[in-house]
Amino acid sequence: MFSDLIVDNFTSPTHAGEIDAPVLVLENKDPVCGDQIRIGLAVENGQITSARFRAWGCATSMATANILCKWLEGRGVQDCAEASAEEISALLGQLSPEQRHCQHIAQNLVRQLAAQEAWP
Amino acid sequence: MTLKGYFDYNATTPLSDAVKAEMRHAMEVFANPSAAYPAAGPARALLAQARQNVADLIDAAPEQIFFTSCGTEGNNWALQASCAGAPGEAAIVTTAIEHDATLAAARALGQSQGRPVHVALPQSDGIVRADAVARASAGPVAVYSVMLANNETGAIQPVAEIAEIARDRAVPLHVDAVQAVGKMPVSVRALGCDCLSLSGHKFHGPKGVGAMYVRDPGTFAPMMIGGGQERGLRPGTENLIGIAGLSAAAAEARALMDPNAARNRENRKRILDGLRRQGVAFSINGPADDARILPNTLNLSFDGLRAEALAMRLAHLQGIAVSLGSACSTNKDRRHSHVLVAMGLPEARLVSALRISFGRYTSQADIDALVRALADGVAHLRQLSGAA
Repeated sequence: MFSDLIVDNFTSPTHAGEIDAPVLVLENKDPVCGDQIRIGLAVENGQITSARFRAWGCATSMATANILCKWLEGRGVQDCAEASAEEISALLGQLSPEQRHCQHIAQNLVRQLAAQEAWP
Repeated sequence: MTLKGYFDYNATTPLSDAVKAEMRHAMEVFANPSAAYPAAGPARALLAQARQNVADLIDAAPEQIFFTSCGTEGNNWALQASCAGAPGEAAIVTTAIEHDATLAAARALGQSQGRPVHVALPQSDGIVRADAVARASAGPVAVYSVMLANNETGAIQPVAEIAEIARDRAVPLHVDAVQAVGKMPVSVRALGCDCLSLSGHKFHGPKGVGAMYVRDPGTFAPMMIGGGQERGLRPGTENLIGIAGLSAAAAEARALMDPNAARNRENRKRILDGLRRQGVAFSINGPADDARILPNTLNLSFDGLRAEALAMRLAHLQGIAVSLGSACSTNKDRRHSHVLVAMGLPEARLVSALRISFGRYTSQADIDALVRALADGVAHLRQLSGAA
C-alpha cells in the first residue's frame, strides 16, 4: 500500500519545522480531504537555501511535504517554478488512487513559485 | 500463543490451539454427514456436537442452530426470510450503526421489493435508544434488525427493550450478534429475538463459517433451495472442517468468557490510564458507562492529527495494527466511518478516530507498548502540524 519512499519520508522526516522569517511561504490544502502542507523557504540569490514544512493529513501527504522540501532545497527558484506537473508527480513515486490527491497538493505548491513576481 | 502488536480483534481473531486441533481432527472425517451408512456416523456426530456447542454459547436449543458461511450470510438470510411473507408496504427497520452486511442488504432488498427502509439514529454515545427504533416507522413493519454490539465503538444496544417493541407489534426481530458473541454473555432467550447471526472468526474460530439461531425454524423461510441439509433451511453439504473449528471456538469462548472479559476490562482501563498518565489528550467515541460497551473495544479520537497517519506510524515503526475510522479515499469524496458520522461527531473527531480492539492473547506488555507508541505518535504528528 505504501512505497518505501513514502514510508521513509513519513516515518523519518528530515525537513519538518519552521524557518525564521521565511522569504517565501507555499501553502495548499486539499479541498476534499483537508490535508494541508505549508512550506517555508529561505532564498538567497535566487537559490533556495532551506525548506521546512508543517503538515496535517495522511501519511502520504506528510511524506509529500518532506520529499518536496528535499527537492526544493539547493535548487533555483526559477528552475523549480518551471518544473512540469509530471515532474512533480514523479517525485512521489508510484501512488495508489487514494494517495493521488498528494500529487495535486505538490503541484499546487510548486505552481505558487511560478506566481511569485520576484524573490531575493 | 502470543500476538504482539495486534489490536484489531474486532476485524478478526487468530485460530486458537484448541480450534486448530479440532479442525485437524475433522480433516480425517470425510464422509458426507447426510449419508445413511455407518461410516457417516463420525461426521454426523461432529455436526451434532457443534450444534450443541453453539447453542450452549447463546443459550439456545441445538435444533434452533443452522450453520452458515459467515455473518454476512446470516444477516442477508434474516432479512430475506423475515420479508418473505410480509406485505409489500411493510418496512425494514434497522439502525444507522449497522454493519454494511445489514445496511446494504436492507437497501437492496427494499429496492428490489419496493419496500421502505427506515434507519434509526444513535445518540452521540453510539447507542440507539429503543424508542428511536419504535419511532422509525409508524406504518407496518416487516422486520426489525439491530446489532447487539457495534463493531466500531463496542456500544451495546438495548436489544431486549427493542424486542418488547417488536413483540408488541408482532414483528420479527433479527439481531446481528457477530461482534458480541464470544466477547460477552449472549442469551437469545433474554434478548427475546426471533433470529440471530454470528460468525466464527470473531471468537478464534475459522473464517468462512458462522451460524444462525432461529427461534421457530418451522416458520422460517430457507436461505437457498437445494438438498435437505440443515433441515432444508440452509441446504448445501456442510463445511465440516469449518464447523468443527466453530464448535471448538464456541466451547472455548463459553469456558473462558469470564476470565477473558475481566482481562479485557483490565486492559481497557490500562490503556486509558496509561494515556492519561502520559498526558495524551483524547476523546472516547462510545458510551461512557463501561457496562454499555464491549470490554475489548476502544474507539478514540486524537484531535490535531489524521488517524490514518497515526495508524501508519504505529504499523511501520512499532509493528502495531489498529483500525481506522476514516481514510483518504479519492479526490472526489471523503471516507468517514458511517457509525461515527451517525453519532454526529465533529469533523476533527471523525478524521482522528482509531479503533483499538484486543483479546485473549493481548498481554499487559503489549498494552504498555501500545500506550508508549500512541503517546509518541500523537506528540510527533501534533508537532509536525504545529498543533503541539
